Amino acid sequence: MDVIRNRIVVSDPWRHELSLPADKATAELAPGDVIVCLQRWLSDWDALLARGGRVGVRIDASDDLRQLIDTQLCELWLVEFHFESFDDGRAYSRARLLRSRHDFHGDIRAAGDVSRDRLGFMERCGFNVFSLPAQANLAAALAAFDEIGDTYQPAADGGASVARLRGHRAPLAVRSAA
Amino acid sequence: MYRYDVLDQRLVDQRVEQFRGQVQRYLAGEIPDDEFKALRLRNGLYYQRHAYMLRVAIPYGLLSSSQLRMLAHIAREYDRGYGHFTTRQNIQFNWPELEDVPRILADLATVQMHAIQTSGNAVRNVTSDHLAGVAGDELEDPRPWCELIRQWSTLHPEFNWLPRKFKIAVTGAAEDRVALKLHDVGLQIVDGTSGERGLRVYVGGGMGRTPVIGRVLREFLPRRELLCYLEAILRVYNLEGRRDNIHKARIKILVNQLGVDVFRARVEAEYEALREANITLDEVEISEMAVHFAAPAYTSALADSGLSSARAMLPGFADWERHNTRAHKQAGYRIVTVSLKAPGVPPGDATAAQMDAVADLAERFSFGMVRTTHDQNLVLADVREDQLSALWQRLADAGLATANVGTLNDMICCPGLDFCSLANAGSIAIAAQINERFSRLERLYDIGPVQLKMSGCMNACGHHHVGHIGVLGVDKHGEEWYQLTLGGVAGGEHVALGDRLGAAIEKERVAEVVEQVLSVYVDHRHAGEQFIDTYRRIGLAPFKEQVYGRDQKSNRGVGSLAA
Repeated sequence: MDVIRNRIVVSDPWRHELSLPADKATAELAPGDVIVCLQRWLSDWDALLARGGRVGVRIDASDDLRQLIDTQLCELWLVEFHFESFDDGRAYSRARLLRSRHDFHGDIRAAGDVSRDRLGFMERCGFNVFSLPAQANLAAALAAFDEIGDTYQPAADGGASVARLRGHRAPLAVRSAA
Repeated sequence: MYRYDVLDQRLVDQRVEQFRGQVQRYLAGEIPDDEFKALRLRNGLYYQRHAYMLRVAIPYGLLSSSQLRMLAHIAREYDRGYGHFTTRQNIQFNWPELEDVPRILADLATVQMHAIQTSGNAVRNVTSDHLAGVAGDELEDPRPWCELIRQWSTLHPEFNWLPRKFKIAVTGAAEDRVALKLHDVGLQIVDGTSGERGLRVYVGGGMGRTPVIGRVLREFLPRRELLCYLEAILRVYNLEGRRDNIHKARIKILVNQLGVDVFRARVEAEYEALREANITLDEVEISEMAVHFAAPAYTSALADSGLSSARAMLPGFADWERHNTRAHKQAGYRIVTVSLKAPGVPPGDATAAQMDAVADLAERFSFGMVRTTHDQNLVLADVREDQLSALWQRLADAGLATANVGTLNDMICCPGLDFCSLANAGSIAIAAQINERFSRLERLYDIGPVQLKMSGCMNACGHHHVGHIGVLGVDKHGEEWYQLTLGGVAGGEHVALGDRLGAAIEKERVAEVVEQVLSVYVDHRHAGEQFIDTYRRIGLAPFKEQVYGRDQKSNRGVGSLAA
């Protein structure tokens, strides 16, 4: 199946392995790039990293993002936020924190109830991969990113807000090591 | 007032085109109903009892004459010739066709208006003091801060899918005319101990079915940090607010569940973590914004304003002047309230012709500016005293000079069962009933200032919780009944939720019961004492006894409403 990644339609190399470690051992996972549940990443991260394929973690609305933040984030290629419904806005804040505050440089992927009319907001919050339902027209959905060109507020996309274009506010400070 | 630059205009134009596309895709069956509902709500478009309803934003209640004329045009062209001004300083049109809405929005954009985030679970139109900039008790004009918040909150990518709606009010005055403690966030401009200008932040107030009086979240916030702090509040709310129950989703519930101290600690931690240069306002930005709201070019007062002869010569003028105008900080000027509470007219409604008339009068008498008020009137804020009588005559010609501002008949009223799909009972008919019973102005003047506020259901759009007399419509076995409360106060240090008078009463008796309540006040009042003060002094009991009798149990029949 295809996804939108960095505003390009590409085929999706990832496979979901959302079973719990108690139901299926990490050693039994088939090869390839896998998206696992947070619990498997927390308990078996070393085995996951040792098995070869790339690792992504899926975060559900009920998961505690702080548990993920406390792990080896830099070893992850992808974090997927699952939208149980289109109007659950928590993942926007979570993605923004992950991208901006915790400096996560891998893919942040939106999955579940994802549709064209929220892609622009999601991208501004740090999402760069979008997994839409099978029937969605991805090529048409790409238009969503350019519907609103200007922004009134800084977000995780690093774009210049209207205030900056007017010559106000200092540029984003480089985060100090402290 | 704030004028769009090319960036503001482009953003609003793009939003119109985006919505046009959403409507087209919905009509083509490409967007499911429930998702389209969420999308249209973020552009102010409801589906009500009979038809779509479009709520247009009037940011902090400020309109130019050309904007008001555009609203008249929309009422005439796309609606049934009138509009309804709301308690949040916006305007609603009750009869637009879905297919026309993109064109309406495009028309609005030509005069720098929009319907962005006038509904939906996002930051709503920021409201403000309708006397901003002209009141004598003001530390600083709040409107530049409102506009900064408007821009920051517009299409905010992180906060467009909050647990529930989010309402912010800002005031710079000593007297609280914005109901600071009844908003999700209330902001009051204050000076800190070192003389630095900043804001006091209230959080967690609100009406609805669980009315809560907001608490102080921060005594003093440096003004440059305003957006950082709002961002911190919204982020904590977005992450932690309840989403499992629509009736428990407002920030007031989160603040109550955590306790204000725990909530404050979370906000402060987030605030420390997110303070970054690109969201901290700079002084140039603040002062440039203030320039947009500079005072108009007042002229010095004439030696003789002609007012005393007008009072003597023109029957009705003196009453109107006393009730519908008030002191201006500038000598020689008055602030004029244009009453939208004429008998026989739903409170807050204005026809297209009236809107055009007010737009013309604003140009002629008040620097081309009009304000909307949360009690559903209009204000011409800068009228020269020597031109008051001329303005009065023209307002009277347009049916806009009813001298009842501040009286019982100047009531707040939601659209009720006649228009709203949430309502349990009508409110417009009750307004008419009260108006008929209290049709003599002399009687209203004798009763003095009373704030009657009426909602057709417990969602409280008509602010009944904080009416001196509150009227709440309830459904009782398919009939419209009304629950009265007394003693509510919307603003200031005495802010209070009304006390329940007793069992709900039949529709036909509402005005009669209001009359009984007022008779108790008239019997008990000390000289010069207003209704609310007498109520505070003597309490609920005498009113209850008058309405329900000494022996009658007042709680029978509607037990479910007691909760």
